[in-house]
Amino acid sequence: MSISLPALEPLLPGLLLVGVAILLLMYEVFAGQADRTYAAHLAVVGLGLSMFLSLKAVGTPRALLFGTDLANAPLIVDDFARVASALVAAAGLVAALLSPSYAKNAGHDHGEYYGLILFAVVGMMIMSMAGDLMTFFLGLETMSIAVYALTGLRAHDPRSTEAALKYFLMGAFATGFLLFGIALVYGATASVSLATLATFKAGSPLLTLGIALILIGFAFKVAAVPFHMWAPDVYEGAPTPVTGFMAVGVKAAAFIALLRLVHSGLGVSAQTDSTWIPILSALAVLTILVGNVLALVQQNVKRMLAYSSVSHAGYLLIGVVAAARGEASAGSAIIFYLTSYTFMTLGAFGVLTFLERKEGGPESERYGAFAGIGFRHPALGMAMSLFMVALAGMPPTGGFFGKLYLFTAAIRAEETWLALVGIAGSLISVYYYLRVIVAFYMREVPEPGPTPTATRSAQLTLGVALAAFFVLQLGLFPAPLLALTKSAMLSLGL
Amino acid sequence: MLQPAEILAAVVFLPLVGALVLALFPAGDHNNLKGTAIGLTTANFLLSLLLWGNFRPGPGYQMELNLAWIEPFGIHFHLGLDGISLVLVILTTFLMPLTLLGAWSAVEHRVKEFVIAMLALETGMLGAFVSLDLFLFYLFWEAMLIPMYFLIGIWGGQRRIYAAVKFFIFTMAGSLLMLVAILVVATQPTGGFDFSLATALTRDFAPQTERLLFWAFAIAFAIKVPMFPVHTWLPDAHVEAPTAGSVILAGVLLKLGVYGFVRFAFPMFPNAALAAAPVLGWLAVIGIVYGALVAWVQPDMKKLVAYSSVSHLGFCMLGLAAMTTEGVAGAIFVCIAHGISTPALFLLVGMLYERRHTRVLADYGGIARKVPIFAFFLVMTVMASAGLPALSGFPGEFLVLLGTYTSPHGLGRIWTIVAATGVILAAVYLLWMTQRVLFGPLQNPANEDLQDMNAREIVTLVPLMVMAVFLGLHPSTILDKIEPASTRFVQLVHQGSGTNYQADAGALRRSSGVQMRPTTPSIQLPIRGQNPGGPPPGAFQRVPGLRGLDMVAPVKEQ
Repeated sequence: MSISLPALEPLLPGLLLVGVAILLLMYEVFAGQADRTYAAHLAVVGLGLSMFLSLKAVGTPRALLFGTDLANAPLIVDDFARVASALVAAAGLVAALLSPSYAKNAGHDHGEYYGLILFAVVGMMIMSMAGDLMTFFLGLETMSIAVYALTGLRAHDPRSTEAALKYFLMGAFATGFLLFGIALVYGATASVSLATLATFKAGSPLLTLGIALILIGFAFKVAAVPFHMWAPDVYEGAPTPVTGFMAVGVKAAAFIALLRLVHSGLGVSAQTDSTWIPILSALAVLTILVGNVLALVQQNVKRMLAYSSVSHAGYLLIGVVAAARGEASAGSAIIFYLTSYTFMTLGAFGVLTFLERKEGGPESERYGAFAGIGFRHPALGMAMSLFMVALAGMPPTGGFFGKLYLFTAAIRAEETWLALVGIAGSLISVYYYLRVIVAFYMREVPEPGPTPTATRSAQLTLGVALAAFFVLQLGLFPAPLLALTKSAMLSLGL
Repeated sequence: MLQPAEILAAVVFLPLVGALVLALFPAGDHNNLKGTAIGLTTANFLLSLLLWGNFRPGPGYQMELNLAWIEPFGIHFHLGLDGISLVLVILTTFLMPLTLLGAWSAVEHRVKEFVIAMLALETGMLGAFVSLDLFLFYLFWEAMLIPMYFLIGIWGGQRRIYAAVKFFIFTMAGSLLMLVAILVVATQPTGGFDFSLATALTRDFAPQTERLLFWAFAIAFAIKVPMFPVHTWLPDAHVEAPTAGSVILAGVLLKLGVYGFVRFAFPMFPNAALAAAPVLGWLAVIGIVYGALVAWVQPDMKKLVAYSSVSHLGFCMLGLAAMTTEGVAGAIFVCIAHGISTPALFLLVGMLYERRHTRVLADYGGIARKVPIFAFFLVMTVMASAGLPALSGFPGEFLVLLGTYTSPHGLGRIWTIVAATGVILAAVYLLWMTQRVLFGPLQNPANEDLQDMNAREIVTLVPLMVMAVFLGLHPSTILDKIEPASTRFVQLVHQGSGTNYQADAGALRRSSGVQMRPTTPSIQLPIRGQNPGGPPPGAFQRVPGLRGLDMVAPVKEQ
C-alpha cells in the first residue's frame, strides 16, 4: 500500500494535533523550570485550528483512507466523523483552557500534560472515523492510555494515584471484553469491517455474544450501570480539569463510535433480532435511575457530578435505543446532546477549578464549602447556576434543547415510556443540581471558617465564558448545530 | 412609531434588558438600584397601557408577532394577545412597580441581585402570558421558576431553602409531564414538528391518548394554581418568601396556572377536558371550602392569606370547570381581583412584620388606635378580598357562581351551593383576622409604639385600593375585554368536543338577570357604541349585559 501525501488531507485535523503534541513533548526536554502556560496556548491554538479544519470540510464528499470501498477502508472521513472530531476537539480545547492555573496550583505543570490531552483527542477522532473494529480499538486505546496517565498526574495525592490505578485496571478489563467481543465477531463473520457486519442479518449465537461483549466494553467506557463503579472514585481523584475532559470527551467518543456501530452492524441485527432493544433499554433505565439516585445522596460536589455524568449516559442510551429502532433523528439528537453536555459539564468543572484550593482534600469539595460564593464572586455564581440549570435540563439552555431532542426521538421511535423514565430521572436530578445553587447562594457563610477564594486566570475565565456562551447559544439558537448534526447523520446514510 | 406587535415584544423584554443593565450598576448604591428598577417597571406599565389602547374588542389574537426561530423543529417566536392575556399582562406590569416600592425597606442586603431577579421574573411571566407557541411558552414558564426560586431561597425566612426547593420540585414535576405532552402534540403525523398553538388546536387524538395528554397538562397547571390536593407547596412558599415574593407569587404566578388551563389544556383537548370537568369541579369546590377552613384556624397571618389564595383560586377553577361564558369570564375576573386584594394583604402583613418581626395574630390586637391609616387600608383590603359588593372581589365570584349554576353538566347546582359557603367562610376568616389584629383592647405592650404607615407605604397601597374600588364599581372595564375571548374559549371547547352546548354572547346578558331575551345563537359580541335603540349617550342606568354588574355605568359613545 503506497500512501501519497495529498491522500492524507482528510486526516489533517488529526495529524495537526499529533504534530503539536510531539512538538510539546520534544520541547519539554529543553524547557527547564519555565512556566508551561505557553504549552496550553499552543495546545489551544492547535485544537482550535483542528476544529476549524474539521468544520470547514463538512459538506464535502466522504473520503475513504487506505481502502477503496466501505468494506475495506479502515478510516472513513465523512461528515459524521468531521462533526464528531470538531466536538472532541472542542472538549479538549476547553479542558486545555481550564488547566494552566490548576496545574500550577497542584504542582504538575508539565508540558506533557497538554501533549496527553492532544493524543487523547486524536484517539477520539480515530474512534469516530473507524470503518472497522480494529481501527476503532486502536483509537480507543490511544485515547484511554492518554487519559489513564492524565488521571494520575497529581502523583503526590493518594486519591489521584488510586483513581489512576482503578481506572487503568477497570479500563483494561473493559478493553479485554471489547477485544474478546471483536474476536468473536470476526469468528462469526470472517470480517471486522462494520460495513460487512451490516450484511449479516439475524445473528448467529457467536455474533450475538460478540456484540454483547462489545457492548459491555462500551458500557464500561461510558460508565453505564452496572459498569459504573469506577466513575465516582476516578472523577473525585483526577485533577479537576481532567475529570471534566474525561466526563465529556471519553463519553462523547464512545457514544459516537457506538452510533456508527448501531447504524451499521447492530442496527440491522437489532431490527431483525429483537434481543438488543430490551437489553439496551434496561441498560438505559438502570443507568438513569441508579445514577440519579446515587447522585442524590452525595455530599461531595465532584462525586455528585460523577454520578450525574452516569445518569447523562443513561439519557444518551435512550437515544441509542431509538437509533437502534431505526429512528432517523436519534443520532442527530445524540450528537446534539453530547455537544451541549460537553459545554455544561466542562463549564461546571471549570467553576470548580476556579474554587479549588491548594491544600485541597475532599473537605473542600463538599457542598458546605461553597457557601456564599455566589455573592463573593457574582460572575462565577451566575455561571455555575447556568451550568446547573442546564444539566438539570431547564430552558433556555442547551441542556434543555438536547433533552427535548433526545426525548422526542424516543417518542417518535415509540419508546414513550423511556422518555418518561428520562423525565423522571431529570426530576430527581433537579434536586441535587439545585443543591449546588443552594450552597452558592442560600447557605449562611460559616464565620470565620475557611472560604475558598477564586483563582484568577485569564485562560480559565475564557474557558468558562466559552462554555457559558455555548450553553446559552445552543439553547436559544440551536439551528446551526442542528444543521451540522443532520449532515453528519446524512453521511451515515440516513 | 412602533407597531403594536413590537410594543408587545418590548413590554415582554424591557424588564430583562433592564436586568442586564442593572447588572452593570455598582452593588453598593441601593437607592439607585431600587429607584432604577421602579422606574423601569413603571415605564413598562405605561408601555403596556399602549397595548390596552391598541386592543380592539374581539375574540381573536391581536398584535401578533410571528418570527421564524428554530426552523427544523417548527418552532416560532410567536407572541400575541387576546382579552384574557391582555388583562393578565396589565395586572403583571401594574403590580411590579408597586411590589418593588413595597419592598424598598424590607430588602436591605443583596439589593442588586434582588432587583435583577424581580425584573427577570417579570419577563418570564409576561412572556408566558403572550406566547402562542408551545415551545416558547414552556421556555418562559420554566424560566420564571428560577428567579422565584432565588427570591424565596435568598431573601426568605427561616425555612427558606426547604420552601424554595419544594416550590421548585413541585412545579418542575408538573412541567416535565407537560413537556412530554408538548412533544407528543408537536410531533406531527406526517413526521415533522410544529410547536404552534394554532396547529395544536387542530390535532385530533385517540380518546385514550387525549385523556393522558390532557392530564399531563392539567397536572402541571393544577400544581401552579394550586388546586387541592397539590397545593401543599404554596403555604410553605408564601410563608418563607419575602413580601415581594409573596406578592408576585399570589398576584401573578398562580394566575399562570389558570391561564394555562384556558389557553392550552382545555382548548387543545376538549373531549378530555369536558370529561374531566366533574373532577376538576369537585377539586375546585373542595379547594374553596378546605382553603377557607384551614385559613380560619391559622395563627400566622401570612399563612392565613396563603390559604385564602387556595380558596380564591378554587373559584377560578370552578368557573373553568363550569364551561360557561359567565363562569370563564368570572374566573378570569377573580384572577384579576385576587391579584389586587391579595398582594395588598401581603404588603400590609409585610409592613406589620417589618415593624414587629412577628406575624402571629395573637401578638396583635387593638392596634387600630395606634395605626389608623394602616387599619383603614387593612379593612378596605379585607372587604375587597371577602367579596363585598362594590369592591373588586364581588363581580368575579358572583359570575363564577352564576356560571356554575347554569352549567350544562348536572353538578353545577351542587357546586354552587358548596362554593357559596366558601364566600361566607371567606368573610368569616378575614373579618376574624381583622378583628384580632385591629380591634379589642391593646394588650401587648410591644404594640404601644407601633408606627403608622409612612408616605411610601401609602403610595404603594393607594393604586391597589383605587383599582379595588374601580373594578368593583365598574367591572365591565375589564369584562368587556375578557368576554369575547371567554366566549370563544367556551365555544372552542364545546365545538371541539362535539357537544351541542351553544355558548353565546347573550349568555352574560341573560344571566345577569336584567333583561331576558331570546337566545342569539351566533357570536354577537357586545361592542361599545353599537347599541341601536339604546339609551341616549351619557344616560346613567343599569345597562344589560356585562354592564349589568356595574354599579354606575355611563353609556359611552366612541
